[in-house]
Amino acid sequence: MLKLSNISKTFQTDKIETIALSEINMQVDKGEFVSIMGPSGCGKSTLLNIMGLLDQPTEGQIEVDSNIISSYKDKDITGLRNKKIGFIFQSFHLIPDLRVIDNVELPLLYRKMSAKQRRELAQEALEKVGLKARTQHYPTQLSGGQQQRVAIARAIVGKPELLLADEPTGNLDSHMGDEIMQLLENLHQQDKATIVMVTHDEEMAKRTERTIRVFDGQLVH
Amino acid sequence: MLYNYVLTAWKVFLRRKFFTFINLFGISLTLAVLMIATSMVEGYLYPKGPEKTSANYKVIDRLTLTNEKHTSTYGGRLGFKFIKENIWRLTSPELISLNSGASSVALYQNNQKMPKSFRRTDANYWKILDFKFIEGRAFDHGEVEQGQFVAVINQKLATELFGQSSAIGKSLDFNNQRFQIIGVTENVSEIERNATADIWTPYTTMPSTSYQQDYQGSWEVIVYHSDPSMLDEIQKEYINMLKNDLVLDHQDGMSVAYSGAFNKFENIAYQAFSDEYSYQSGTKTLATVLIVLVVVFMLLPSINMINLNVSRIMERSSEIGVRKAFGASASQLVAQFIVESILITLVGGLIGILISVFLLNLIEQSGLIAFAEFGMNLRVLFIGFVLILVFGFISGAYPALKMSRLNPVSALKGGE
Repeated sequence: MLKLSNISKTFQTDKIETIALSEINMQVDKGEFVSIMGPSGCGKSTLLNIMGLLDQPTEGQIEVDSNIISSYKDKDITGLRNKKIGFIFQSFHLIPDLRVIDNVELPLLYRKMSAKQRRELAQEALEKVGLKARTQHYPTQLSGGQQQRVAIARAIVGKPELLLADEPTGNLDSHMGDEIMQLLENLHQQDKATIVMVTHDEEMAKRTERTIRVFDGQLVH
Repeated sequence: MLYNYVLTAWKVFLRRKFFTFINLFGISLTLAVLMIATSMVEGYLYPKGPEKTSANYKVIDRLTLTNEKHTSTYGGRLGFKFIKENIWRLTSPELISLNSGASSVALYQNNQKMPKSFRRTDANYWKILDFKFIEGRAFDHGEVEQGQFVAVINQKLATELFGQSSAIGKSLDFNNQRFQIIGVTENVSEIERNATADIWTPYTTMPSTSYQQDYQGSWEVIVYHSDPSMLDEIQKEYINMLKNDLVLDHQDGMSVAYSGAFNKFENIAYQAFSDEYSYQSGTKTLATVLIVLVVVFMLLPSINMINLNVSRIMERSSEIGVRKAFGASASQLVAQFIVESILITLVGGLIGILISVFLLNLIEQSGLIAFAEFGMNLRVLFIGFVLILVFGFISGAYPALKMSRLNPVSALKGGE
């Protein structure tokens, strides 16, 4: 499903070169629920961004659903991101000007699809996260947990192969965080979704099938 | 897709009311000023009154007389003798008309002084210019030849003097002369500077004949051809005559003449840019200056809007990051922001058009320019519309490019 070979990432500022990741080799299989753990600043978010093709590794090769990424040019990766990957962010990143339903439809805007079809798929996704009644609300009218559920609906609406979640419960209290975690577990069990989740919460990590630990830019086995 | 762009744009405008207001304010004001200017230039270049035949004639109303060394120079309008000895020899025009230019005279009614504008002219004048007569007629060749004391007046003067009763046959006294009124025409806008007047009489009614001895004077000439493409031939023939075949027996030894037959646009150009020792009107310079002015004028609010838009990148970086993460390509984002920008300029443009219609009406009613009629026509609206689109595009394109190039990771973090 997802294969990283010898991935390294260094950040170049004026005088200092920071090594964020070094020689990462890992693989995520179809249908797996994997968590990535590590202290802050260890490079786990950078790793997730590289998996999601949001960031380009300095060295190494990445393979998404048997597509080897050889170019990071806009036109080569936008389609791939759109169809294969769904993102869930710590701070939700919903567009405040758009209603819930329009936020969920967003990934479908960049596909060839009729407005009616988009609306149907978005309704379906919102139903799955239990927010069918909130389609006409604006994000600011919802609680944090509800907002994150909208974000999850947005991530799954295009039926991507891979869900990438960057501390999805990080901005939520434990009760709401638990709800979100349950939702991800359901998606994994019922829909056989492949999920990679970054977290620093040991409890959350325990609920996943496998935990990858990162320390100082390297995997710890 | 477009619907979604428009929807997002609308929401953004509503959320950022102050920003939207400033943008709309700048755009609508700029466009209103441009539209008013366009409409006025349009009113001058494409008159609706008697001068609506302007595509078929050129006007000669500038003359420079000088000697070889330019030590003694006259610059101004034409003298009758110059017209008689030179312009009347032109063979290419189908009609040549002269008139004294508009001068002011005082009429008295009930001991009230009424300043009026007055023009002496010939019979061709009425053939070239398309006057609408309310009643009566214009004077003809015979009346001009014989120096008959007949007059044509405009509707406003007729009403002032005679109310609702007919003016035909009534007499009109001014400058110690008495004229019989034979025609009443529509009022003519002051913008039509070769046609506008309150009173017209045959030029042969001048109190003295001394004007016939002058190379310098206040006269202007209209040269006409039914085929507009022949007008350049007339200009060529005239310049050729001035250069090679000039009759000029001037008492001060002036032997060189510069002049030209110009259409309306050439006339503005000549007044603005041409030097007095030239036959050319300087239209290229004028066109360049006009274009530069319009561009500069539009650039200022554009830069302002670009600046405002760019400063909003930070604010909307999260949206850009999300859209990129979910598969928006750079070109799709550029399209989105350009649509937003064009949309706001379109709204601003419509407001601008309304403002300009309102202001033009105000100018017309103020009497600042007598009998002026501006109004919007399709041509002015079309120019306005093109201006709006260009405006929207330039102010949207640069910020859009900058926005679309944001790296998604940093955009999601807040755009550092």
